[in-house]
Amino acid sequence: MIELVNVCAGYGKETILHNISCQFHTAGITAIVGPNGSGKSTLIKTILGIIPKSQGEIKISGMDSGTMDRKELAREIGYLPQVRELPAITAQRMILHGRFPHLSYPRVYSKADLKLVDDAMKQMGIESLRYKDVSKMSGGERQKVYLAMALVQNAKTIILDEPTTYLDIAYQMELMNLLDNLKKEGKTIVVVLHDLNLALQYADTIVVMEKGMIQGIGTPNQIYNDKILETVFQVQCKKLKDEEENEYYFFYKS
Amino acid sequence: MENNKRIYYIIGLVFLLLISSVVSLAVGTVSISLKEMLALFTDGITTSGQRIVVYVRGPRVIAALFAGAGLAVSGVIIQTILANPMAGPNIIGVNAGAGFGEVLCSAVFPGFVLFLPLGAFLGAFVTVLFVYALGRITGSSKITIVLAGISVNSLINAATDTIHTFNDDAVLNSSSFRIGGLQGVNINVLIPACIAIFVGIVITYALHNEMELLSLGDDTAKTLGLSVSKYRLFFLLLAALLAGSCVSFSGLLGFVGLIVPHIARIMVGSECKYLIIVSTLLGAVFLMICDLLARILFSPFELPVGIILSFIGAPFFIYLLLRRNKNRM
Repeated sequence: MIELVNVCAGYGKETILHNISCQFHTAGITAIVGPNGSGKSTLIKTILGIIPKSQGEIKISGMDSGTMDRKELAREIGYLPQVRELPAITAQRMILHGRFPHLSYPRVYSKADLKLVDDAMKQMGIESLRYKDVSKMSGGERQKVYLAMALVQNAKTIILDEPTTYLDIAYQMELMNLLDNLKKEGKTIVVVLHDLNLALQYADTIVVMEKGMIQGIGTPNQIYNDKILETVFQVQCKKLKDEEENEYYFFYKS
Repeated sequence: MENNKRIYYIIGLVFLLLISSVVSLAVGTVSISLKEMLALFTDGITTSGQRIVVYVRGPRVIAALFAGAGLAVSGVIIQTILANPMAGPNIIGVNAGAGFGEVLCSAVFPGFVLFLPLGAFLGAFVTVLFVYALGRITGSSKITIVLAGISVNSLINAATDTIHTFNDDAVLNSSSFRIGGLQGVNINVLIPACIAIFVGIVITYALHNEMELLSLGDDTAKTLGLSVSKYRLFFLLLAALLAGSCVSFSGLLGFVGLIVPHIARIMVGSECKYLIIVSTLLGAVFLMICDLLARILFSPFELPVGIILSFIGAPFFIYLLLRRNKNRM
């Protein structure tokens, strides 16, 4: 579990996050949503230690994140950034780097590490991509490779920054289903999403952010009933049910 | 790419290096037979041809081997760390910085040849840090780094010219130093520089996983447990050590560090483990062949190898710019 208490952070002297307090529960999907510039990416980068916090406390599995070194943190949290370099290396090699936090000198990957890579590729259904150059993959293939890398990292938590951006609808659903499976295996999933439908459909908890502050936390139903999304995004939201009682949300501007 | 193919490339390059080394030792204004060279191991130096091999061509072959390998690996590091395929030790001013350091050193400490590699290393290191910082401040785009490097190149060359103007003896032959060449290489400078290049390449290879992590981007590298700032600084230091050591005995040889990593990537991809090995071998072969061409093309007259490299390297750089432009369209 990850717990934030009164966390403030930003870039240089500019404070972006103001007194953020929340918890990301084990074996659950937490979706962070909010308009552009609301501080979603800043929040996850602060948890990951990429941006230093100026105030407050972040506890990861009960430990103060400030006392953890980079490798300890990497063994707790895997991360799929929104913007990334695309190296011309094979998927297998890329995924293997997920074992880096577990290596000690002289930092040579072992057969056991390769076995973990095989298992992760199988789980993600990307065995055929083993020798394919990551820089030549489609967006969906690349996301699966990064997710496989997070899997071999064997971290309890996986944080994803807008993983569905630029993916077509089939890949979006496939990726969210993969995250749902990982949740069922006991992983804590924290995902920044722009697509509110996906957030409402897949998340167990939704954190709504605006101007660097949390405007609401709750289950999709609570967030919908409290009209938090409508207030923050200034749109109307309606919930519809089909004949099989599946719930769907749709948004419109009045 | 499967590993077998990469291994074949490596074996092929080793053979090519051996062949080009033997040809370089044998061919020139005086031809020396293989039998005469092999007799060196049994009888020692007994002929004038053997004397040429040991005192003239031998050091030159060693110089070509180490300068080619060192500049190529320096190029691999700079291109990987700056995430910029158009960067190379000569393009971003690292070679010029090393040259300035060497010229300054020879002006301030005349006669202390062992200080030259140190001066070259410090000059290269300060320059690479400056260009890196400039790129970070101005947005770090790929073209910004190149433009910053061109500006830094001009500035450093002006500073080097100033030293030459006031101190003719700073480096004995300033024009051949600037063009770059391996003729008459100073063995007292060559030995410590070759040791530094060897150590630099071995350390770079030992850290190939860390270098590859940096190529995944800062955020990914950090969240995989790498101390990004520490390693980036260390790799830039290694690049400066390699480029500075090469410049200290070969002058400002251009384009090896730009061309070789590109061709190596085409051969074995960007996996640093293989990229470093193939660049090391290919850099050595490339410079050895260029130096051989420089010696025999207009025999008995000899071109500085830097001229050959510029004739190959400048069009290659233009090709990279055109390809970059095409990719953006």
